Amino acid sequence: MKYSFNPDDRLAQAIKKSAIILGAGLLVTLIVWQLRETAVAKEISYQQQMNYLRGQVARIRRDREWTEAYQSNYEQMVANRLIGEESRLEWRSMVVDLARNLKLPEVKITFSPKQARPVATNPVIELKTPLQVSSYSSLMTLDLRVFHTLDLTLLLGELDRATSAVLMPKRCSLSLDSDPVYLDALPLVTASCDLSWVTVQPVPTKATNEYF
Amino acid sequence: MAETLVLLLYSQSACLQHWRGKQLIAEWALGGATESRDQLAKIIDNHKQCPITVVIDTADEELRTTLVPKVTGGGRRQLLQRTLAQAFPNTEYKALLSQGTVRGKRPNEQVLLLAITQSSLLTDWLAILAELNALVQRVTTASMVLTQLARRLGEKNEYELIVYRHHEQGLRQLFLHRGQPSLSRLSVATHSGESIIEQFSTEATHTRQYLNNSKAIPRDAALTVLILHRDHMAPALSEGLADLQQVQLRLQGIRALADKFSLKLPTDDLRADHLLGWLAASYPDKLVDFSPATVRHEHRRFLWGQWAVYAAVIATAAMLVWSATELFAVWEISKPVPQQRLLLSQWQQLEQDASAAAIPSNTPPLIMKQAIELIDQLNKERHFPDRALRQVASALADYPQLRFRKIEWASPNTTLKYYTPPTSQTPDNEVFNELGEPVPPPTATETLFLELQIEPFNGDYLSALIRTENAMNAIKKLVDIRDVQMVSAPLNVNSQHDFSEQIELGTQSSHQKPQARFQLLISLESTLASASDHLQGH
Repeated sequence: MKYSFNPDDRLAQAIKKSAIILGAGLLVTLIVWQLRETAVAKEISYQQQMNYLRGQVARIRRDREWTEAYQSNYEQMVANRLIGEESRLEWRSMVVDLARNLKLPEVKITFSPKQARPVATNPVIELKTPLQVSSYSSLMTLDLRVFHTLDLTLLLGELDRATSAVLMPKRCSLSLDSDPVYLDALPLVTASCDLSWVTVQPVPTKATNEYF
Repeated sequence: MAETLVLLLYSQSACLQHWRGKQLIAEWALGGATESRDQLAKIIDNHKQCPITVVIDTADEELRTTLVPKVTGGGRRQLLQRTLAQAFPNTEYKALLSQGTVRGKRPNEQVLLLAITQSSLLTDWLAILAELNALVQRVTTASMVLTQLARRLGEKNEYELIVYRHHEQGLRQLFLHRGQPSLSRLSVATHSGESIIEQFSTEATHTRQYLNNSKAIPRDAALTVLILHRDHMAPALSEGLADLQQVQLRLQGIRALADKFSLKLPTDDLRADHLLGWLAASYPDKLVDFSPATVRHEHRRFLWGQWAVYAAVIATAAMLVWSATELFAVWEISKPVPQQRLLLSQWQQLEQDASAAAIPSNTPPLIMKQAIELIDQLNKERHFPDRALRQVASALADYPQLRFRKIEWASPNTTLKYYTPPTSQTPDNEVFNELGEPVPPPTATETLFLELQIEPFNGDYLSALIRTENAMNAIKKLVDIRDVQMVSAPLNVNSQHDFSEQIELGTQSSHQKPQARFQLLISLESTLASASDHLQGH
């Protein structure tokens, strides 16, 4: 049956009236909803701006504090090559000079390849901030003959004082294989040390992949 | 408040009442259907949204009471409709009213069957109303409205006869048995000279006789006659009807009744029709409906439309309430905008000031901080052999016969090369190097391995052992020493190898000098003191 709209029909009129009422309500609701959304968006934008500005001011002030506190030391360490690339030749030169001063007959230096220290071995400095620096270690095995036990400690102390890296002794041994009764001009004590030379570089630590 | 039109139809005339709640707004006296069409059209045109209740108040009404088997469910309606059709086969306007269940051997339902026997009058008026597109919500009879009036009065009489003076100078009588209508009569005055008191008396007597004859009421039963009258007639009615036999007379003034129901009616020409009009306007759903299908259909559509409008109004109201709360929220959010702008500009100024006061640097400050802290931390973690060597040397200073042969120092977590602990001690966690040799587990603290030899040694191992143990005890007393173990000694009871010795008790041989070597394993306390001595260089 084909339906034809009768304008005098009460149901049709009521539906029309309902539609007008609903439409008006919806229109008002939509306008208000849009107003609310706009207000909320403005509020969020304001909060984001405020948060950004607070963060910026805090960061700039903190950077200033840090710069004041660390810049001179940092630049000194860079100049001393404690921060930056390894200077193995300098380390070698220091060892040779010290051995020469101690009148040692010979020194054997064995360098292992430089290795990046894993992130886990780096001490946690600031938990909230990812580590922006990385550290590398090179193992030097030092074999030498000394006159006295103290020569070794003297050598290590001098190296630590004048070094351009963080010197971390891992193991040291001394052995007296000759008869100490028969003294000679040659040193009798055989010494061997495993020294780890740690340097720091201002690049983030890369996560090492054990499979590749 | 809802407004309603009530069209009261009489045999020769009609009356249209406009009600708003309990107030009679207007009343129009109409003639016959045809001649009143134009007047009705104007009135309806001015009250398009007012539903109309049609009350026919003529003599052409028939009431029958019957019993039908008690049926529930869908079959009840069919049974009742069939009973109604059988009772009034050729009547257009008919209806039924259930009067309850009659208990017996099997339950029956008592049904009042009603019919408007002469339908032409009602048909004419309904045709005009349909032509005028008027909204008819209910078509009923005066007796049904009067029944509602009796219920509203709250009288509980066994047999009751309600009488009032009809609009066209007759008397309308309704007989109720326990509140249920069973007889309706409209009588006209038999003699032109008969007074109204005589009419009441005559009709009450006739009706009583009819009810007695039809066994609707026992002959000795009392009949309560309720007369609705104009107020000034009360004394005359009391005096004139005092002689009625077996009748309990009750007079009810129309004005008093209107006041009882708080009706706002005209002060003059007050009639019982006004009470009927109010009931028909206010309680249409409680009245028996004689409407034809087309009228019902139209009214149903009107109700649907009304509900749709109500639903739309409710939904819109809800939306408006929600909008109001949202607007309040918007106001709350937007209220501090000027302060926010001010605060924002202040913070922007702060940022500019801070930027201007920043110290230029080639390296980000975070990197500088982390690099220095990392180096500091590494420096704190360092260990040097000085401390262990100094401690042990000081302890052994009192034992010049103990000469060292081997010394090995290892930082924490580093294994010793000169000393290998017995493999049986750690069978499960044993680790092997590339050559298949067992690698001792590293310790968490600094360790020092010492191999000492007694010089000069006269062959007295026991004395050498005592001397070495004394030295051990001296080492143990040092502050930084955690533990000292003698891991190897001559004639070690835990040795895995055979031991053989040729002992010359006579002259001593210079070629084979006996040796007494002892191996000590020293664990140091975990401390960063040794590292702090070496921090000056950085």
